[in-house]
Amino acid sequence: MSFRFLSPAALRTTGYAGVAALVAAVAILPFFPSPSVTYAMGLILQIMLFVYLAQAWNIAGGFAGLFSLGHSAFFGLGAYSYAIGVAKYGLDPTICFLIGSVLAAGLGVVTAVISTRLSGMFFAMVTLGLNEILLNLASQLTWLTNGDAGTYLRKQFTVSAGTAYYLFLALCIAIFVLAALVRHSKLGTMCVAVKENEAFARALGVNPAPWKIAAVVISAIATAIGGGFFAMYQGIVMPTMVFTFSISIKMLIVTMIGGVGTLWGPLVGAFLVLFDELVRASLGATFGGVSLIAYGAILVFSALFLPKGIMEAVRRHLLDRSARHG
Amino acid sequence: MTFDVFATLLLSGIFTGALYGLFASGLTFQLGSLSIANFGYGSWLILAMYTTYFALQVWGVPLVAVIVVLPLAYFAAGYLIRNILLRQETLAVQILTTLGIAMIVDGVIIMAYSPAPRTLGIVEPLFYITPGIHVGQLRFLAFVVAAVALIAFQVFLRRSYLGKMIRAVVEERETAQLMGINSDRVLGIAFGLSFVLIAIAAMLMIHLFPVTTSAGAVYQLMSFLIATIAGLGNMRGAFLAGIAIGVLNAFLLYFAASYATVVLFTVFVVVLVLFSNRTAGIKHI
Amino acid sequence: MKLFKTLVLAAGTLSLAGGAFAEEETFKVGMVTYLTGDWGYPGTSTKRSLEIAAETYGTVLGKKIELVIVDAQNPNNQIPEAQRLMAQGIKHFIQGYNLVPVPLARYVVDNGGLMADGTSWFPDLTEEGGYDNYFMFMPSWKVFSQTLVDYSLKFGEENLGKKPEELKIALIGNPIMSYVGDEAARILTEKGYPPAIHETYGNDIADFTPIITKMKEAGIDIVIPYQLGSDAELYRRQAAGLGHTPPILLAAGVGYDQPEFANMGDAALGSMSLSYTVPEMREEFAPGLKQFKETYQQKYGEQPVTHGLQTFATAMAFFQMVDKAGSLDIDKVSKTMAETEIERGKLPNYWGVKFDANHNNLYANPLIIGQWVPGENGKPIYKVVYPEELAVEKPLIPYFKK
Repeated sequence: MSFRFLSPAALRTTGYAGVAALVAAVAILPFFPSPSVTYAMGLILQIMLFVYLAQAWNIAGGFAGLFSLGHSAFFGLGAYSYAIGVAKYGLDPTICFLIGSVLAAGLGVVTAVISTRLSGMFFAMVTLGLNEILLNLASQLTWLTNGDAGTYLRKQFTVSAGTAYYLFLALCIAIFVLAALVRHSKLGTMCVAVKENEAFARALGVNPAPWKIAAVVISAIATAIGGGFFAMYQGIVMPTMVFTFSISIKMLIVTMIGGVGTLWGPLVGAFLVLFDELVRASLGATFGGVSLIAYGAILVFSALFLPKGIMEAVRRHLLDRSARHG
Repeated sequence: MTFDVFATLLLSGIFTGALYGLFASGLTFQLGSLSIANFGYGSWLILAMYTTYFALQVWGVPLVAVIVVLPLAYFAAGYLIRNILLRQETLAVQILTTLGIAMIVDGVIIMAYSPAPRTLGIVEPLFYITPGIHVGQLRFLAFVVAAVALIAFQVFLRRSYLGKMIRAVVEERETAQLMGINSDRVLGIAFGLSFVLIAIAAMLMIHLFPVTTSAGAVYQLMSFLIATIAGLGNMRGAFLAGIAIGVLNAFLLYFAASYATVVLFTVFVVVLVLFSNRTAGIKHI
Repeated sequence: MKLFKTLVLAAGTLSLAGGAFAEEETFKVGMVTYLTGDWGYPGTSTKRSLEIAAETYGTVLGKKIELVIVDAQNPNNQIPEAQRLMAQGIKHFIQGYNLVPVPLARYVVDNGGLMADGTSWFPDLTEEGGYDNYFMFMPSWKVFSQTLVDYSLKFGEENLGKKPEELKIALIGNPIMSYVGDEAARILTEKGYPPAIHETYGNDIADFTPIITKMKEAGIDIVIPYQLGSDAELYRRQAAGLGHTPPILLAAGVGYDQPEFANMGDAALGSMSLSYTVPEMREEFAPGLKQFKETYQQKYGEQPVTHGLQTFATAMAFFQMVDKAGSLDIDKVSKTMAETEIERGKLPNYWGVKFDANHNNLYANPLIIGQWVPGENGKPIYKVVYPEELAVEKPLIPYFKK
């Protein structure tokens, strides 16, 4: 690949320049209106949604190692807080986002406390269970949520696809800045220390609980805010749209393909969303099952050949080079 | 509530629960003993249900042939998947791989069998214990099969040479290898055996339940729930946990069906958290 | 990173290739439906039916109808799919099977397209109003709940000889349809006849014994199940096994007219279901129905289901109206649709078309009741029993004598 010809430092600079160019390109794209640009914007919006969510997941799942399979719970809380707040109780949107954040933070604290008792697979199972509880409540409490008929948002509570595009661009930039801050702060260092070797960290006098709670709460609030904007863009919230395993799992897959716990992993992994969309677009209607098979195959393929994600492969390459040249 | 009603609920809970135990048993073994989190479990289960349906209804294959061939095919599938795709052991990689496989299986189901729901439409005859108390005959059969399959599996693991090898590899991989055991082959066989359990469960289930493309996700979640409550890797535990869940569910459905699922998953979360010390001994995941 | 950029570029090129050459020689009609995922089955039937409609109708304004049907797989992909189709110059849409129709329909009409919706029952857009290019051919689920209650009380009075306050009604169903059950319960309670049992169980239900036992104990007269999928089949089968034969079973919707019900034999008998138009109704009042069923059977080896017929009829009405508009221009088509009146009995699904100011179809009735009755070869068969003009068989109520 091309980066073999570059030194690690040059590659890093190229990387940053590339990201800056990407952001600029995404930002100016809408100024060239045409049908294909509209389509590209739709795709990019979908990608940005999952890049944002993946990074939000990454703060808890990657940095702090809390492998959650139920982040859709936070997403749904955010979406429903906004939708029910504005549509049913006529609250100010800011208040709704605040309520969503508080609820998500509350659930986040519970989740984090649980994670101090359970690890790995068992923690993952608990998060799955919590999401299932919320999914069923959202379906059953029809007086509040309108059940599976959904909480509908009238036009004044929604945003157009064009506005959503810039909203999610802003959200993406914000979450990457936030992730970078977390990663390079004491919080990030502590999280990684606890993730890598909890026993050792404890032996050094670190109490892991507060750090884990902090990471999960940040991640939960970010996810809930994403949920709120998602509701605004979709114009309706139904239980199966938000409290769904497919959202949780996509957050995690995108991060994993890019590289769990790396800052840029969620961005790199986003090509998967694109792949999914393009395969379904080209094959979906003719051969229903083929798009699923192709998507599944790429997951298996990545797991076999890039088990730690693309960013890890890049990093290994950089280390190799510095070893050889250093 | 009369005694007859109480007994009917209890029995239906026990027998449905045994079925839960059976269909979760493969996952219990994979998760607990082999440390493989299989997110494709539900998809494999419904693939076997669809295949059994097609074999019996469309292709006209006799049931006996299905009972012989399907578990063998599933054994082969399990063996190959473990030894080609699932040699990595981190949770993340397992999730990615098994999810990918699940999507492929779902795609194959849609292409080969179409997404239409399928049912054998069997109206279950009843055993009457007293005039007011009864048990479904198929569910009774499922109970017996579940008990036999799970006990046989447990005995096989404890007594047989191969079973001992599996346990040796699971518990002390490196030592076992030093003793000359080909650990990949043994683990492949073990994973293949868990797939045999899936096939057995599915062949029974299609006689009781309709199958749809979305059923896989439901079975997946229920299996996780039961496997975890069972205390992972414990086949007898899966059977008992299945029955406990079945009975709890039966009474919930009678008294407050609307909140049955919510209560069930709350119990699941609470049990996991309260008995977290039980999970401490499980390796690496 | 490089790979990512390449893919972005590739996507751009692909969409350009797809978008730039929007030719005007064909009449392009888009449909975003589900061919995989949880709703793959009904979605596939809407796809097939739209294809048959295009073949049957032939040309619109002298142009060949070109269908572009795509798979959304799950609701969150709908808008991107619609964007892709619109980038190819497609403006006319027919709704596929959709339990989350709002985002798609709103996107299409807000961005210069038109949506003819003949398969979804959520009235959100027409209730809000102001979506000039959205046309709802279906009655809403609220009408559906109301009709369920009306018929139940009528059957109770006429066929069971019980006054509404003496009737014991049970509402049971799964969460996906909880709103239908809750609305029916609300109407009943408002009238002063609260349901004796009202339970929405979880999707994971594997055993109906407890719920059936409860209904037996309560001596239920009328069961109204709001079930969507396989739970309907399982419930009916178990109920038959347990000898639970309520005098009246009136189901809400499509759970009960699935062809695989016939597999359970006598256990299916007697159950009725309220539905939209169904392929089993009287053919002479629904011109084109017979041919549609024959074509479907010939092409796919099975009979179409309700959503298929709804799609077919909607598409046929829509093509007719575009022809009448004399132009593909959205405003002209929309204006024509708003003004057109198609009497009942002229479309393959019997219903007519006449839109009110918010584009609700005023002729989207009557709702139809079918019942499983003994067929010729011993297998039960689903026949329409209400309303009389569309019925092919007399209803048997109560089917099971107490």
